[in-house]
Amino acid sequence: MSGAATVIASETRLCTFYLGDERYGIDILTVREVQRGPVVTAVRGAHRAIRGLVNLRGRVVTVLDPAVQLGHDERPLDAKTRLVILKTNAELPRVEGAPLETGDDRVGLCVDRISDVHTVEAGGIDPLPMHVSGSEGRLSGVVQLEDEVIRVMDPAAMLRLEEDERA
Amino acid sequence: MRDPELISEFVAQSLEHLEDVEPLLLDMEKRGLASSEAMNEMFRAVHSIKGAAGFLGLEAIQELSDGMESLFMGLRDEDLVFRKAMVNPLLAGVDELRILLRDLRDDENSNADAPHALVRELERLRSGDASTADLDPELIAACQVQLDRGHHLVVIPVPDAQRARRALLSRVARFGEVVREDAPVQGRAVVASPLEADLLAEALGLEPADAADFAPAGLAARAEPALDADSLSLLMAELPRELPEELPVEGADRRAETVRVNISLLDRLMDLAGELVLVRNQLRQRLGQIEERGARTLFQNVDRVTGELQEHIMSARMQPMRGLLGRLPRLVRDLAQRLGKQVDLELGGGEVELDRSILQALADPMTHLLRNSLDHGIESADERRAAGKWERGRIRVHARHERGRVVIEVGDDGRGVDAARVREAAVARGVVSRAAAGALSDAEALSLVFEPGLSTSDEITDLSGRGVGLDVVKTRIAELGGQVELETSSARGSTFTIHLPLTLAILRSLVVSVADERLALPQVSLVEVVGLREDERQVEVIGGASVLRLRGNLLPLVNLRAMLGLPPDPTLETSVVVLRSGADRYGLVVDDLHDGEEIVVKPLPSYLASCGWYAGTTILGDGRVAMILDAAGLARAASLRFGEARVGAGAEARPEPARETRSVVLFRNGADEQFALPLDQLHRLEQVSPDRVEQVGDRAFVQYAGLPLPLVRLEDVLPVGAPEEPTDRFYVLIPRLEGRRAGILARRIVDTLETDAVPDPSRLAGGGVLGSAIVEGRMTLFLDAERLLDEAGLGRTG
Repeated sequence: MSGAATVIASETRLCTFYLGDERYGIDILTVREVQRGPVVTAVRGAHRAIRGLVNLRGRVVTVLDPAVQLGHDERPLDAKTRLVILKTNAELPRVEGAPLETGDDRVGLCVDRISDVHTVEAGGIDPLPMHVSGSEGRLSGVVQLEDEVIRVMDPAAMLRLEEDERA
Repeated sequence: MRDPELISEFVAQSLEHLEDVEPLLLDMEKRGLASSEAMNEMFRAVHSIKGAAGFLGLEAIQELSDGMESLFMGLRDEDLVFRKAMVNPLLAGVDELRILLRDLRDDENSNADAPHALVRELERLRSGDASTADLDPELIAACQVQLDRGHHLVVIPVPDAQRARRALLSRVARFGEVVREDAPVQGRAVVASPLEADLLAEALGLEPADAADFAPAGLAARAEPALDADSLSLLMAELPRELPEELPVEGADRRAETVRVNISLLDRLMDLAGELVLVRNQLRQRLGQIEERGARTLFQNVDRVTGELQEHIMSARMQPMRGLLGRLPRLVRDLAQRLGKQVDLELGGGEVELDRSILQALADPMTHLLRNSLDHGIESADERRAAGKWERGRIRVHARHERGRVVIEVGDDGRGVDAARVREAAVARGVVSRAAAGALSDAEALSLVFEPGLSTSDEITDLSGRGVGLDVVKTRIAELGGQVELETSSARGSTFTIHLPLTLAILRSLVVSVADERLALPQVSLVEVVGLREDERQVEVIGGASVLRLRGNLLPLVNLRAMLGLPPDPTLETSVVVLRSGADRYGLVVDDLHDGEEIVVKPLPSYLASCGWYAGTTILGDGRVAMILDAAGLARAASLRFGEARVGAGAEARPEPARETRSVVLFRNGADEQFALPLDQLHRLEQVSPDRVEQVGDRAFVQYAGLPLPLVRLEDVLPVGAPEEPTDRFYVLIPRLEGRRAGILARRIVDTLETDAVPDPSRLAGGGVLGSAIVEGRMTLFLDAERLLDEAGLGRTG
């Protein structure tokens, strides 16, 4: 799925949010909803990127920290934290030419702040520049704006856990 | 390529059709003939399978169902005579169709071959020559004579028992003439009568469906009846005034209109309903602060609808027992045939509903119990006659609701289980020592049948085999959160009673906490709870690992704080929950214990599977997610420390002494609580009927040994529940107390067993209760008989 930028036919709409000062985006077709961070139950012994579990209307959702996945430090979760709940593979719409992929469990990405939805024309997502490091294939490209950069996440890669990173 | 959706719809519908056919075939075999109605129904079922299979191009299924269909058609249209020999090939056809359908379900492009030998056999049966070929020409000739006289030829069932048979045949003589007994098949007779089949049946007190016209090929056409109106009215006068009541047929009731719903959708609805309950609870709290009358009323409506919604969604996961019970007649028939035994199966409680996952898991243990009854319980016809029993054995499977649980009884009227033989077998197989076996009471000895490797049958049969026995049943039932008990006597046979929860998704558990994290422990892995007091030096460190010294025994300790990577907090008073993991027991140190809760189990997210010590997740009453701990996984995860603790303990301590055990009688009175009374405090246990209990003032008495014995009702003395329903028997436990006579009333005796559980006085003690402990997976109140009588105001009588 990395290099998805080249196969997207028409426009892509990105749900964008901040991790620290950096702005990120993820294809809005893979996003189910955005939630205020409810009480997270930490799970001891789980992978470092797993921040815990929340109850979303009776369903247990795994909270995954995208910052940890991208090689940053854990940040404390607080009242401003938002959860970007992704669709599961079964819920994804079928897209010709650019098949989407996430995971099979219900997962929420914890982000610091939600920004707006950004529409990118075909070809508007550039390949990853060399200087963006630590992504391990989890970013699929960047969108260059006038004053900032949106880093585009590859949802399936974002949801894959590296082995031997157990806390 | 076939359309997977069409195929799966076809498979589901066809399997349902076959469910209908099988019981009709069995019924047909039992009664020796089929009503044209039943024949029609079977024909229709097979016909629609054939039609759809043809449409979908499923040749094998089409070919086989065609063979069955034409046989049904021949029987329905009466150009074939039903013979018992037809039942086996038809049943085999049902089985083969099921196999073909299931192959198709697993792989919609499966192209298995039709079972050609079976299809040929069905064709042979259909082609009529088989049906007359084995009919005796003499019988045909005798029938022809009767036909020519203008009589009707009717086949009726005749009982095997001589006296009943003579009685029936002498009645037949009043309406006609017996042409031949045991023709065309064993257990039936061909009768010539001026009455038509249905009238004759009425005259004889048979069900109309039981009598059928006898019209084998080779008979010339029937002459016009030579009966005039006068002789008809004479005959009619003989007809019994009252018709026999129609027998209700279990499972034959109307099928309510249904739609198929995906299970995952039901699960989702259940989640949402649970969430709605939480939202409602939050709303209730908020409303408490706002005083507005309109809002109150609205809330009450929301409250009611929410509760009802949850209840109905729960019930949507439930399925009636009927499906499971419906499979048993075939099983019993096949087994009985192989064993050469005669058995009647009585089914009841088909309407009782259970969670579908439990129903599925129940099929195996039920099969096992039935095999056990047929194989070991029911005697051969000769033995039964010698014992003064009916030749035909009886097996009874009955389901019912009891206090929010489902109770299933599997009983037979066979030889029962002999406690002495169980003892012998247990000693011979090394399950217990001879000395220990001798010390067992009969009830205790009987409970050994659930131990692995024990079978009391003299021969090893291919049915129940050897070694795999009731222990498997017990394990399976326990996995479902249930229990199984055996009651037996040589005169009345054996009854296995299975108690099951209504649903698997709900688990009894104990919620514990460390720091501010709460975790749930399944009740099945709990043994007991021990309070830790530093001053008593119960915890020792041996070989670098902590162990708990508990009644002279060393128990490895696992610290939940350490496991979860939390720092120790020496200021806390901690508790130890003793858990069982297979044969191992260990103590889990936790900060605090909360109440027992019934929790809804949700699957573990795949991201957490590698952790290994969680069994699932759940949502607690306040809406927070909590992890369910897996006792075995936790022991494994702690294996290093756990193993060392054991080795260390072995090296430095004396060989582990056996934990002290004592015998207790477990019983129940109200709906919720289980009680235990040590056997050495028990003088006698009597069963009394309610009419022997007399009320004098507010004291109840029962006549015992010629004197009135005052009775204690537990609910009057202790803060426990009262029995809910009336009963047809009580038990009176008479304690062994110097100079005091009194009895304790109980509703149900659960068991007598050895337990090493020690009642913890810190919980629920006082006023006649020594304390509580977990026995057989349930919180149990240990009674102190002497204090209890004091509390009840039954002083010494001298």
